[in-house]
Amino acid sequence: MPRVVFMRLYAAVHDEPWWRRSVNATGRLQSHSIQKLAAGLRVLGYGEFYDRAGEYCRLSRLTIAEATRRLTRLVVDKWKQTSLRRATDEELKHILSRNATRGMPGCIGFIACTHWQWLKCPKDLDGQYHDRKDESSVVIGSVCDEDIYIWHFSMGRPGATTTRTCWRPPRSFWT
Amino acid sequence: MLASSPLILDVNAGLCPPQNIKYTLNGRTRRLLFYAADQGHPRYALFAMPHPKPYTPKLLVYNGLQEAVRKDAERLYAVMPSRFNIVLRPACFTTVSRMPDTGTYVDIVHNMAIECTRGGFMAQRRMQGDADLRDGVEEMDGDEPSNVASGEWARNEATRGQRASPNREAAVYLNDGPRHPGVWGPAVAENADLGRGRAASFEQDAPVRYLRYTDGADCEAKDTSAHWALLQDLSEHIFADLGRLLLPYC
Repeated sequence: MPRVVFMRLYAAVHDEPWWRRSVNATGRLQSHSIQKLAAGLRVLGYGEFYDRAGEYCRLSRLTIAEATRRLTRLVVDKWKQTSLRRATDEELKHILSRNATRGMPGCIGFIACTHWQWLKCPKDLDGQYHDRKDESSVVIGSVCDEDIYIWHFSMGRPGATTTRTCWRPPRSFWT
Repeated sequence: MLASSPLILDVNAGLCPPQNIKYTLNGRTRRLLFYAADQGHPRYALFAMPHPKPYTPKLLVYNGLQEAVRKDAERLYAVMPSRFNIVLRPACFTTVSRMPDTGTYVDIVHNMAIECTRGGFMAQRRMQGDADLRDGVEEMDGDEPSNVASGEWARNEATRGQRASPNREAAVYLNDGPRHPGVWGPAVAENADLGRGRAASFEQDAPVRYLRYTDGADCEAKDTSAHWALLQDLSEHIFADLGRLLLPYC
């Protein structure tokens, strides 16, 4: 991850109530916000367990779990509206002209989807998130452009709903 | 997953591919923009997929180029897990809401990293767009926008206008010509008389968000025959300019 992104996240985080460095009842300083941020980023960036960064960040397992949860929520709340919004006309026009020079005028993005296995899927949801490999998983679908900048993101259940076999009200019923 | 994704729900409502852009393929003008997809998707007019049985040289060339252009989407699923390894490993969350939260987090920070590492156009453009959006919100929030702020706004608009007009010839056109009947309208020949067609089928123009409008959008975006026509036109278009387009991949 580039340093600029880390600094941007740190600037967003360091004054938040849970993140900032506090003093406890005995007068001792508590963990610094960089500690918690680094621990959360390590979990998300390297797929580590919560207690893996304990020696490096000098935090307990529960603090790292909390930091990960709070970091996810904070980023989603703060940037979802601006980062994953729809393309404006000007941006769209630029994507289109770029794709037109590559031979596909009218193409506004590339769709792809992948599966993400869900190990700890609750038993009652197991049937809904069952995929063809007999495991639980969710499907991540994205629309990106030539710069692999993500313009659209969605996550859903695996299954045959990508084909026309999915249930929907027959059109003659509505018209 | 696709049928219930916000993307397709927007398409069903006739909102998502904007209707004010037209482009010309093989002498026919269209308004329905499309996404490049792989074989696993349904044959909608919204998707340009590889032809399943490329029985002509033109279709073969089209298949090759389409896959070469679409490789960026495959690259995304190599870059994103290597940047955020958590996507590669089985998720250990026990609630449903944390799954999309984590996925959205990964996408947002991935976009941030792209904005920072790519020095190109889109990163700066996107950040500029965010700044403009914030400025706009602040202006709307304030009761009396000061002259300084509005001057700044106007200057931003002017610079954006300058950047929006590149010197080379535009491949797509915004907001021009009479509208077709229907939501996006069918592909028409370039010199067709649109006015007469509009008058003849005037009754098809339904207001936005009405049932007839959304139903028409649904039909148009998911039309299979229009999908095959799109593939045919694309292959003709690519075959006409074969040497230049395939040069980067030789």
